[in-house]
Amino acid sequence: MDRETLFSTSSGDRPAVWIGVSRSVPREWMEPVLWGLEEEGVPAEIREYAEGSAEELARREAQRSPLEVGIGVEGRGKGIALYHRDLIRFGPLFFFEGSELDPGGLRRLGKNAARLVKRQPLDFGEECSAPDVPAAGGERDPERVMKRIIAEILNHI
Amino acid sequence: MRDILAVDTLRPQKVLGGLAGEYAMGNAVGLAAMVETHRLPMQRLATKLQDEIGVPVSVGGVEADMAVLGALTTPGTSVPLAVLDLGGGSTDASFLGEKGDTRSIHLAGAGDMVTLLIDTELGLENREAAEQIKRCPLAKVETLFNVRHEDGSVRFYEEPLDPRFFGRVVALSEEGLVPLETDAPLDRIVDVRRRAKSKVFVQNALRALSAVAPAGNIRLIGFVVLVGGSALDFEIPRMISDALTERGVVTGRANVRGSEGPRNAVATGLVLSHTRNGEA
Repeated sequence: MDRETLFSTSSGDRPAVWIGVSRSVPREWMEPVLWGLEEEGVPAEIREYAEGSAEELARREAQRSPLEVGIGVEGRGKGIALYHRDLIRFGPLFFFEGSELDPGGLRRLGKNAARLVKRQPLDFGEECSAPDVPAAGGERDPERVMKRIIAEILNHI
Repeated sequence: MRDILAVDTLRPQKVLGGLAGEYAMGNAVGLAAMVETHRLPMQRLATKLQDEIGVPVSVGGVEADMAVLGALTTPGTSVPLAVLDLGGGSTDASFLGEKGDTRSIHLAGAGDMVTLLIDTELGLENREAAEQIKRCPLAKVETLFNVRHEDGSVRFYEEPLDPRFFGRVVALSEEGLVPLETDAPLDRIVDVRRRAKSKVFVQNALRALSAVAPAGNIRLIGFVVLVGGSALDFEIPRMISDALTERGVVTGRANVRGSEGPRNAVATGLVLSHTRNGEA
């Protein structure tokens, strides 16, 4: 079976993340999101609407997308939301507006939409590193170790 | 230096000239060493503590012998008995015969070394994460609403999981799910964990028990009681028990004073020894 027949001919059934965009949003502004998705190898389809908040659009697109993931983009780049169909009762997975909407953040959102589909860990940017283990060297000093042991014992008495 | 344990392991090493952060597994050796302790620092600690609390404090007792005394408070135990103390820094064994004869040994290599091996082979560079992997069963977060445990069973949640957990392997700790930073798949992490525990504890259990067994023959031991923090681990006692069953030895976890489980054996033994000997 070749690739053409593997996926249905109707574009509505093609496995893709659906992106609902308000008509007033310039296409160039949206590109980083598409790059993020492309980088992760997941197809996306854009549909334009006259109106709708980012959340409403994302919610609707997630319900219809064959991959169960939807993105909604509000008018004049006011906000962007990422939804998974399983979250219909709960709220968007991510919602960004204002200063968070730089190309880097948009690209990351696209990446995360794809990772959601592929069930891979999400990208949170520079934050989220494991807490540093306190250096063991400081505890080698016998006096300090003794003080700690005694303090611990006194706590328990 | 009284004992050394060397364990072969693997370590991810960056490939020189690699463009995409490639790494290959290189050989490494983990070492645990048992060093003779001087009485002096312990005596200083005892003196300081005595000054603080005004109660006489003395240093005494061979750890392995105290572990036996404590283990014997487990209901249903009696001599002859071997006690295996699975600690963080050392694996100790003692044998108490019917006539009250004892033999004991302290070997390097225990819980801390298992953590080191896990840390090294997974390239974590994070002792805390390695400890979590050692102590806790693992699961993979499959969707926003369910995890799959390492035994294959699936657990669903009413509320969506934190997106930071999504797609990650998590450790099921008492404080809840702890996401692990490693990219290694669940099966590999489980395999590393089990092999580390086996290389250290099973090997040391056999080594230690052979040293204290009558005529150096483990088969003559009969019954082994496990004490120590690592005897609380969810898989180490079973691994040791399986290895010993092959040699006709029955293994059980201690229940010190009928209430403490495998912990507190040495402390209990010290108190018993003191009261029995009527030391001042």
